Amino acid sequence: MEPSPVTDFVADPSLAGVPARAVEPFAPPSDAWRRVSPKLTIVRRITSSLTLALLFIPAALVLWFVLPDLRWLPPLVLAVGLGWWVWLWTRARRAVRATGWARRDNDLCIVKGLMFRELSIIPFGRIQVVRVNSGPLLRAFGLANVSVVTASAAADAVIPGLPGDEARVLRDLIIELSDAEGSGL
Amino acid sequence: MTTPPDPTPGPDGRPDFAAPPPSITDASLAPPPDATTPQPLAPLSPRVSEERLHPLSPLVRGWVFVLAGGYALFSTIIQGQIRWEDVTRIGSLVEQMSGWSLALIAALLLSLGFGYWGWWTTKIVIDDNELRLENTGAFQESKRIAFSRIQSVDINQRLAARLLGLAEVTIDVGADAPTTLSFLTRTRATQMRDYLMARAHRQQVATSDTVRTASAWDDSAQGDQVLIRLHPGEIILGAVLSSELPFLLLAFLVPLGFSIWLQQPWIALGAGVLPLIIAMGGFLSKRLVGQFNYTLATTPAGIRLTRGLTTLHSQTIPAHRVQSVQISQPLLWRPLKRARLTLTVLGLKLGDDSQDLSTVYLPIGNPRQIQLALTALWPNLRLEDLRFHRTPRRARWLSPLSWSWLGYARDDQVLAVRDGWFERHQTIIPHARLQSMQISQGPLERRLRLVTVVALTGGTLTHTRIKHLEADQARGLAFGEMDLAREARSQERQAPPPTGATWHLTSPTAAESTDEAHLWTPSTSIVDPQPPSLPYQAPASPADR
Repeated sequence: MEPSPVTDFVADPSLAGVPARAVEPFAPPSDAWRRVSPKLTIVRRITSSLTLALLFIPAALVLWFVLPDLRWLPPLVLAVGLGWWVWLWTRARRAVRATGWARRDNDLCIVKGLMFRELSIIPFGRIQVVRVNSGPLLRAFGLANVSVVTASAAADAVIPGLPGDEARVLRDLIIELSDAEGSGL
Repeated sequence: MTTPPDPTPGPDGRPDFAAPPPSITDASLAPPPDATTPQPLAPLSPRVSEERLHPLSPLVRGWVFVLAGGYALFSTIIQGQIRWEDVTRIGSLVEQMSGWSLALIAALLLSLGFGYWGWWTTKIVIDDNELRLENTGAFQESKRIAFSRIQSVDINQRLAARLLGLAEVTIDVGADAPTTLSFLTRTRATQMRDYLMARAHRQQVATSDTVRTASAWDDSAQGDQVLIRLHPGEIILGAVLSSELPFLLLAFLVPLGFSIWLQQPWIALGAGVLPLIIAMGGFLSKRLVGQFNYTLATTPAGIRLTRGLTTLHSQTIPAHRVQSVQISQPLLWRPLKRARLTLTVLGLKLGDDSQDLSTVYLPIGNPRQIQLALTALWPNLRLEDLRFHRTPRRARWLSPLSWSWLGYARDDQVLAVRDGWFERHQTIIPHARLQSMQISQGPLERRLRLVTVVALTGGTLTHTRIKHLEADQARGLAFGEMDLAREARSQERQAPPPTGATWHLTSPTAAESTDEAHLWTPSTSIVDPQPPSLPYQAPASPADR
């Protein structure tokens, strides 16, 4: 196999001591998970804060003035919004640290989720479209999402918040490897 | 019902698609044993054939209006309002007619004119690599269908078309809405179907090889091998004992209860009994009419499903396009040992069996028929040879009712997964069709140290869950399955799968010997916490870091 462009990546130092053959269901398939950027935590916290500020608080205010008979409703909306925001805020760091990707021979492996954990194994040959995209907030932190599309709608996957360079390298790697294999539905 | 493969290409008046290479004249029907070796193909001349649809097509498409107009004319003549002599004095007749009837006639003629304009400007062009549907009418349109993209080709004959000996050809390419050619003569439709399917199987054939006259009754032709033909009684049995009917009954028990409670018997009659009878009659007759004379056959073009009393549906699927097959058994079918087969092919929508394109592979069948239908898809698959691995005992906390049934098995061709308790399922996925695998774990599963593996195949919403496995078992399954899938795919690329033509059921006796066997013969029994033999960690070369 020809040397791949990811050769110069270093393994994730935070997972250096984890034995490879641990019977942990979400252990990395090769050496280690390549974790997404920790900056994604900040992006996610900003996003949830913005949602709180722009959706829940105005909704509560409008309800307060429109429905004067239901004085208990706006505080309820606000409480739900605040609870949701606190939940996301406290779990953001761990959720981001649980997200990563790895390469196993000719498969792309993606791990994600904190409460509902999920490890997807997608052969490079089955990937039909690779997309690198980033919104204004992600771009401000120099991050990008890499999403892959396969013939199976349920198997589409996103690796969120990769550093821009890594996202582009990963995209090129996927394109190179998927050319080599060919799909064959 | 097997007719011997006897290709006698009769004289055909129509132009040929391609020059028939003499070396493979009988390749589609009686292939040599080494069909995979490349035949010395004659260089195909870039000959292009053009043709139009059948001239009666616009009339058949609007057959209801044509029939209504004919009936109106006929009845007025019978009633003596128009005498035949009047035809010569049509001018004065028109003056007598009211305005709306004139408008109606004008609209009818106009639509017929448009229909014929569309017919005249639409051409089917077939060249070496693709079929084109070219419309040069008001809107210029050219639709191309590459032969290699064809997923399945169906022939539908609605009642009006069937009486006139016409048929419509539906070509499904998976992604887009299927293309329909309506209408062609039955012979031409069969011929085109066989040609397209042969080309979809990457064979080089000339259409004159596949001149076969299909029967109007069940679309069977020479060279077909009928595997299963369902008796109407079986279909009624299946419909009566289906899972839908009890719910239908339940829905009408509610007004019945109300009427007893309110002591108003007319509510029971009006809201309960009469609609119930109508709904049940409709349900049963829809099933019976839709699935009447259900026939499963292997043909030179692939596996063919034919059904229908009034409208004849004939669906042909290449075996290697099947993404997965599900054997399911509703609760009430369990004592009868009957089961149903559903298949997933790209492009076919999940839907009920009355639609043109159906996912039902076998509406009801006994164990022998199930085995036969599966053998038609995967010749080496024997249900009783599968060995199902059970999940750990502690998974009972999560699936108390289905635990004894849950499990998975795999052989060199397929992965089989069992699930469900009210309606039992067994999904069979060929390794070569797997798209990707997932390992997932919810909070409850984490507490019990169990994981679920999801197998994903092409299409929407086609994921099969292999529930509650040990961690190492799951990893071995998921990663090992990806390796098997890759291997199967590369094998398939080197040696294209045989078509229905190359494959004939060699020994029907072997299938008959399973007559006594229960459908789910191998029980879900093997409990193996040991990691399977497949290595779940691939040797990582330094370049793979």
